[in-house]
Parts: sequence; structure tokens; C-alpha cells
Amino acid sequence: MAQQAHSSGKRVTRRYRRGVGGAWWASLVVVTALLGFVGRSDSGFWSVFLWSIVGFVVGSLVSIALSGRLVRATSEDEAFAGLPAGGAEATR
Amino acid sequence: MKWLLMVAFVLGAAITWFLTVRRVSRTLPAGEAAETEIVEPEIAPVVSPGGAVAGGVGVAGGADLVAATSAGLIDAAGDTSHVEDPAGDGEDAGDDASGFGGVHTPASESTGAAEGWDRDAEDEDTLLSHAPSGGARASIPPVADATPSGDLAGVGDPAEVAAVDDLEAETEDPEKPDQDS
Repeated sequence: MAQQAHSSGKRVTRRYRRGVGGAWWASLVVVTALLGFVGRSDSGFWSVFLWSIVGFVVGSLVSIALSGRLVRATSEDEAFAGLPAGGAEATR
Repeated sequence: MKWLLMVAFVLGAAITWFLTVRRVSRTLPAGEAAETEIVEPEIAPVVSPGGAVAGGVGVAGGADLVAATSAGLIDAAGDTSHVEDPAGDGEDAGDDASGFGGVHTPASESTGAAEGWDRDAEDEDTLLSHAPSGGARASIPPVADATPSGDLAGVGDPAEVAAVDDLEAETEDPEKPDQDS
């Protein structure tokens, strides 16, 4: 769980995990369609499109596994457990 | 086409990471930030046999445990002996004894043959030894042909059995008037 305690000691940044939402599905469609369009002259749109889906999903699974390994907190409160309450400010 | 597949892999990993992992910042109050030591919870919960769970983020109740640890209610080793009793009634010794399994009683401490397989069993020999010695059973003479359990039915000389029955009847009702008179 990464954190950045600034030298002033007043600002703490931590990370927590969220579930994949509709944005992931939209990204899947957009990315694979774009890759299929780019590689349509190579081996056809649908071949590249379908293989891109496979690559996108496999990359997502790897990313989820890494985030589950590196980021333990699943909520903001859990990420800041042990710290006094302060003003929250989402950075992303 | 391989490079397109690699691009899809990288894009899938990157987009998923940015969508699932969220960074958040908190600004601590200046006074509390100076006094508070930022304790980073352990990534993996440390569990040892017979020990307390320290830094159990990711497990049920882990956040509460970390919060209690940082608040000073318990320390990392799970030692709560220094915690003051809020009620102040000074019953710490009794509470410690009944924390798990209850206070040891003489019945639970006995390790007889009967208790070897059943904790709630009581030693029958011990119970018989506490029986009143002046009862009817004590005056009954032992019969040589009795079974090991003491059963006289169908065993022994009928005359002896009849004598024992008469003796039992007299002992149980010594003041009962005779039916014939």
C-alpha cells in the first residue's frame, strides 16, 4: 500500500482498489475496435478485433492480479485506517 | 499481428489499473499530524498460533483492529494487560480466568477413567462412597453367588434370597405395624 507522507506531514496519499465498472467495457470495445481498424490490412478486421479482445482481457487479468497483490485496501476508510480523520481529496 | 496483440495486452493492463486503483489524499490537521506517527499497516496479516492478529488489513475486522491499535487500546502484540478498566471495579483477575473455557472447577479438573471420554461424566465410585452408611443397603450381607453388579435375581440359594428380602422389608419399614396383628 503506497503512501506519500510529504515533508510537511500534513498530506497523505494512499491507494485503494475498486471494481471494474462500465468504463472497462467501453474501453474494451473502443480499444479492440480501433486495433481491428488499424490492423485490417494485415489480417482482416475481425481477426485482429477478436485477438485484441483476448489480449485486452489477459492484460486486464494481470493488472487485477497485480493490484490485488500490491493494494490491499478496498475502500477509502480502510486505506486510511490508523490515521486521524482529515479532509479527503481524491486525486484520480 | 503480434504487435497488435501486445498493444491490446498493454492497453488492457494499463486501462484496468487506472480504472480499478484509485489514489486519494487526505490533509491531516497540523496539530494531529505532528503528534501522530503514521503507521503503515502490514501488507500481509501476521498470525501466529496463540498470538493476536496484528495489522490485519484485508481480513474481516482488520480496519477496526488497526484503528484500535493506533488508538492505543491494544498494542501490536495484542497485550491488553495495560488497558485500564473503564468500570473500575477491579475484577480483572476473575475476568481473565473466565475469558476462555471458564474457571476451572474441581469437577472439570478430575481426570478419572469415566471423564476420559466424557467431561460431564461423574465417577460412580466416588458417588457411592458418599452415600449414607446407615442405610438399608449397608446392612445387607454380601451373597457369594451374586453377579458382579450385585444383582441377586435368579442367583444364589432361594433361602438366602428370601432372608435378604425379609431383612430389606424390616429395614425399610421398621415402625410399620405388622399386618397380622
